[in-house]
Amino acid sequence: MVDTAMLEVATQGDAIDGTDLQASIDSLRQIANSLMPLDTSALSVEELQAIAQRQAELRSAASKLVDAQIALLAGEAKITADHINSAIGFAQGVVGQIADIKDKLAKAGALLDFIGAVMTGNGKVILQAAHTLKGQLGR
Amino acid sequence: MVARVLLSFAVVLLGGCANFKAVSEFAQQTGKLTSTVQAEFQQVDALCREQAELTIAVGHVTTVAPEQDCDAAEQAQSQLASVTVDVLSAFAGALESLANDQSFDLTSDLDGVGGKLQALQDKNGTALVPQADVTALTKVVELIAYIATERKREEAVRRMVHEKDQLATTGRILRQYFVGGRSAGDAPRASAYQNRILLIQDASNTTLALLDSKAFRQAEPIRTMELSRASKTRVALLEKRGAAAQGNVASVMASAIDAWLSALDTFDDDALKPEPKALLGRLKEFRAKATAARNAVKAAAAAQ
Repeated sequence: MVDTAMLEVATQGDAIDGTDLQASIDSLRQIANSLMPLDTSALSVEELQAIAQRQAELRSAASKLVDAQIALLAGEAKITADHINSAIGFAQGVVGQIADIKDKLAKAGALLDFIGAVMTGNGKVILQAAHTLKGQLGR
Repeated sequence: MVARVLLSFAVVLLGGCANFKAVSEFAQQTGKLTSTVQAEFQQVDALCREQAELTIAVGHVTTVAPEQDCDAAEQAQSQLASVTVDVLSAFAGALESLANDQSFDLTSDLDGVGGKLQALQDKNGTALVPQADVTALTKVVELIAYIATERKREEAVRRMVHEKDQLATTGRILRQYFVGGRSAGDAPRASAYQNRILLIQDASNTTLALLDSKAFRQAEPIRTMELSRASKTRVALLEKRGAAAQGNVASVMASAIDAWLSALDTFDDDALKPEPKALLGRLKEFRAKATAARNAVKAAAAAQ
C-alpha cells in the first residue's frame, strides 16, 4: 500500500500516464476474471448475474485506466503510477485468498471507490481512499 | 556522337526530376494502410458495442457503463492514434494527388485534423499526450497545407524529405497503439489496442459462462442457445486479434508500419532519383505488408 511518509508534493503539470498503469489494468482484469467460478452448476441466475455485474464494474474501471492522463492536483500529495499499481496489486492478493464468493465480491467492490478517487487526481483524496481500501480489505 | 550528346542531355534532364511514380506508389500504399487502420477501428468499436449490449442484457447490468466505456474508448481510440491516422490519411491523399498532378481540395480534411489536434490539449493548452508527438503531427499538418497550397511537385517532395523524422514519429505512434513500445526510460509501454481487445474478450467469456450455465439453460433454453452461438462467433473474431494468435491483426499491422517506416527512410536518398532502386524495393515490401494487413483485418471481420 501507499507509504505516505515520504511523498512529494504535486506541482502544476504533474500527471499519471495510463501507459504506466498496465500493472493495475492487468490486476483489475485478473480480479474480475477470478470472480467467476469454473463450476457454476450450484449458482442461481441471480447469483451469476451478481458476479457478472461486479466483473463489468471492474472491467469498466480497467478500461478507464487505459490511455488515462490523470492530472494531479497541485499542492497535494504526488501520487505515482507505482503507488496505484502497488495498492491494486495488494488488493488482488487479498481477493485471491478469499474463497467465499460474497466476501470476494464485496472486497473487489471496495476497489471501485479507490479507482474513482484515483481518477480525481487529488492526492489527498487518493490517500484517504487508499486507507479506506486497506480497512475494507481487512488489513 | 550526336546520339551520345543527346543521351547525356537526357540523363541530365532526368537527373533533375523527382520520380513521381515512386512518390505516387508511396502515397497510395500509405492511403491503403490508413484506411485499413480506420477499418479496424470501426470493427473493434462494433465488437465493443455488441458485447456491451450482451453484458447489459445477459448480466442484467443495471447501468449503461459498458456502452459508455465503448463510447469513451471510441472517442479516445487512443485519441492520439485516431488523430495520427487522420493526419496520415490526409497526407497520403495530398501526396498522391500531387504526384499524379491532379487537382485536389484538402480544406475540409485540414480543418478536421486541426480540430482534432486541438483536442489533444486541455483548455489551458497543456498537451494531454507527449509534446513531441503533438509537434510531429503539427509539422505533418503544416506539410500537408504546404503541399495543398504550393503545388510545386519537386519542392513538395523535398519538403517531405525535410520532415521525414516527423512523419516517422507518426508511424511510431500508430505502431505503439497496436503493439505497445518502450518509453524514453526504456520501460515497456502498453498497447491500448491489446488492452481493449482483452477487455472485450473477458466480457465475452463472462457472457458465455452465464449462457452455458445450468441455471441459464434451464431458465431460457432456446434464447440461451442462440445467444451462446452468437457469442462464440464473437469470441473467435476476438481471438484473431489476440496477441497469442499467429498472424494476429496487431502484429501484421505493426509489420506493415515497419515497412512504411523503412520505405520512408529511403526517401531522402532516393525520392528524387530517376531510378530509385532501393526505394522501389522497399515500396514493394511495403505494398506486400500493407496488403497483408488489409487481409488480416478483412479475415478478422469475416463473420461480422
